[in-house]
Amino acid sequence: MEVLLAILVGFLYAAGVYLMLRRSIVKLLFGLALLGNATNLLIFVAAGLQRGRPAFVPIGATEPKGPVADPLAQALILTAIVIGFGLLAFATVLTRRVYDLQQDDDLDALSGGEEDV
Amino acid sequence: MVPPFFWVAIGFLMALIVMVTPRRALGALSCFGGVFLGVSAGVLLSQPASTWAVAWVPALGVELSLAVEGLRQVFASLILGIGGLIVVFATGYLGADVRCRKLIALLLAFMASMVGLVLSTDPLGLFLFWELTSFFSYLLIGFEDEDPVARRAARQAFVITGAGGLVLLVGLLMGGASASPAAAICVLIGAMTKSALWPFHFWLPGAMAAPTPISAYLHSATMVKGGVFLLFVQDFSKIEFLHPYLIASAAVTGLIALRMSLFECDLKKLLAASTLGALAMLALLATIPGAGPLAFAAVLVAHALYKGALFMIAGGIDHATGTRNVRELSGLRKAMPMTATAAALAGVAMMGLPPTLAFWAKETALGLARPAIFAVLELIAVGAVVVAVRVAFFPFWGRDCVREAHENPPTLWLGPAVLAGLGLLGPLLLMGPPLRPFLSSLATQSSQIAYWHGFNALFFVSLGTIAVGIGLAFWAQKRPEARAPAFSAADWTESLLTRIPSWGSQLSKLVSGGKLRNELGLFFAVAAGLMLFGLISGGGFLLGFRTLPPTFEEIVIVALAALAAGVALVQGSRIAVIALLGISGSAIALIYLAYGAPDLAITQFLIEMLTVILFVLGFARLPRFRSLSGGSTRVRDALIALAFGGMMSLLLLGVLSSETSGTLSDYFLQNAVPEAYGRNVVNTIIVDFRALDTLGEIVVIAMAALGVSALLLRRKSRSTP
Repeated sequence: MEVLLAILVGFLYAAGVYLMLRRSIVKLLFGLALLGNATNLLIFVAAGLQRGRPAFVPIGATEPKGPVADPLAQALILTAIVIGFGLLAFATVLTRRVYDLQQDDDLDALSGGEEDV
Repeated sequence: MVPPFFWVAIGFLMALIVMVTPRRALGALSCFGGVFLGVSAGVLLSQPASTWAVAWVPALGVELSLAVEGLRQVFASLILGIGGLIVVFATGYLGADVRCRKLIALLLAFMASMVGLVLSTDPLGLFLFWELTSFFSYLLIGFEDEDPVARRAARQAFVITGAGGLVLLVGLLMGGASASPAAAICVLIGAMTKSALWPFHFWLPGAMAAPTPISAYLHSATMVKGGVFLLFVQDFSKIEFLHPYLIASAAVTGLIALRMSLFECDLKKLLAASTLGALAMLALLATIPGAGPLAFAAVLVAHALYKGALFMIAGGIDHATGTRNVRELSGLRKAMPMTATAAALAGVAMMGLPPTLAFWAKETALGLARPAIFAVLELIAVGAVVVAVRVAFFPFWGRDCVREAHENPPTLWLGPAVLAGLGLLGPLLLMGPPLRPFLSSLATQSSQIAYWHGFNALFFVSLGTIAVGIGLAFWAQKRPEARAPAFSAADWTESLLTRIPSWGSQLSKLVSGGKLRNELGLFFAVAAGLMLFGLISGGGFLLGFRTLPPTFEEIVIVALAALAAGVALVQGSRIAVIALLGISGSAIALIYLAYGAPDLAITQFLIEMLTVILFVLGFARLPRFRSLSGGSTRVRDALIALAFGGMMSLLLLGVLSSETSGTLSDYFLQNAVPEAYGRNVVNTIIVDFRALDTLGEIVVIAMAALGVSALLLRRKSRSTP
């Protein structure tokens, strides 16, 4: 399963990077979303997989019995998911605003940049 | 006994006082300050040798240490004394100009830095004050900040001396000139930039764009001597492998100086030419073994006295007649008797005639020199005579001047008169009781204080030098207009400086072409390359970890996530791409669920839904994606993407194959119930152990929400007029 997921992570990265290298600013954003998912999954797998054993402490015990999934990686990813969403939300509205002003999402056609001609 | 730091502190202190002085009181204050500095110079010279140090970075053994002794003492005293005269002269020179206060404050701050430079015995203190003098020199050369010529000269001087300062720092950190040949070369380059020795000579004539008090003080009497002073204190007479280069550099500098002294007509440029010569002479003196501090100090002081005087005289002539062109000036002695007298005294000293201090200094230096150095020194001496005749005598003698002229107020001729007088009386002071014991302590066997060497061969060679110089001066005065030189190092440097920014923009155009995706592509390609390099140089890794066999459902989920993302790459419909991204993200949520992360799964589902809604609101109604890139670009981007993705896969496998520590996770697992009273360990981390992090996260989300709403509301208010 780990090998399978490693390939998935690599594929998601490749798809994200490919989208980010497009001329459309909207695709850039979609690529960013894929990159975020890929990174979260990367951390999750790297922390070690435990099938069906969440980091819960049973009632009456003070610590989990036997091996459980790594709670620290999960906490980090949880934060990353939410922050990533904040970034995407802001970027989406900003991109939409650019589109409204320029009527185009081709990065090369946008005016007002440094290399403006 | 006065502690050595006092001599550094007074300059900075006086600069601060000047800054807060009302304009009306400035004249009186600067006269008082000038007298005070003159007295300070005398007191400093009479101090017994002493040192002072304060720890700076004790862990690195760095301290700020000052020493009052020998040559340092003489030089520092000279800086204070001439500084006092310059302050008085500057007050008279700028007069009612509103910038007078700024000029005097800068001069005083410079003076303090210069004193610090010559008294510092530790490398970092030396470097600090060295850079401070470069910095104040920059401000002072560019004092006429509305004049592009002055700005250009200031920048050029700063670039040259600043770069030299950095090279010097390298040399000092390597342990100074005596530590290694490389360090010696670094120190030499630093010294040559500061002292305007060829090939770094060209900034000095440009620095004459500064007002005359500044040229007199920084660019002849004090700062430019910092470089040769460094050569002396770093004991370059012992670093013999560099002597040929130093002698060659001094010879070329001397030739350039001689050429300038014949072809220039501006009084200040002429004086700058002879300053170049004098600096070359001091550099040579620093290479002579056994020359000792006395000979060095004598040349240094004698030059500062007559050159400072002549610069102030040139400024006085400019002030009185409005020109500095030596060909337009003659017969001023009737209108300006005091200035003419001071000029004659300084001129006699500059020509190296007895009974001046300069005569004694020059004869001592020549007496110590080997043949090669002797020839260069004579060359420099001829140039000095030419300049002396052209600057100190031609403007004052001959037929009456066609221009209106008047004698200047005492503030403008007193300074030069004092300096020229000291130059004349110097030998008496040397012989006299108060200084004799101190000077004897500076003398070495080969440079005893002997004022008159007799009518020996040296004397007649000197007479010949003077005769040649006078002849050349008359020739130069009659010579037709000079043509501009074909190659100017200053112009070349200037064009280089203006080209650097355009090179930079060309480079960035080459790298990114001003396009984000090119930069991103380069970034990802380089990242993939670096990871590959790390993998190979680390010897690779073995796939050695326990794997869970995937179930059928899991294979389907993984395939779904990959397939959705893959199809999204080639779909043209925006809404379809958004849906596919949502599917891919949800599949990932299922993977979280299967592997013991229900919290993650819930969050991922929620966020994925929100993202889809957000994207639909933002982009669904936009037209279909167009095909914007060509085939070869797509192939190139696909290769970069696959390389990066592949490396990330390998990275993950590498991490799984290596040993990891679970200490931190174990801590949370064990303490979730006893400390946070929670059974869901992930939740206890988020809301208890790392609560402050979560608060920060909430703030970030709130900020993003604010930004989103601001942009959305703005759109609405636009559409409804």
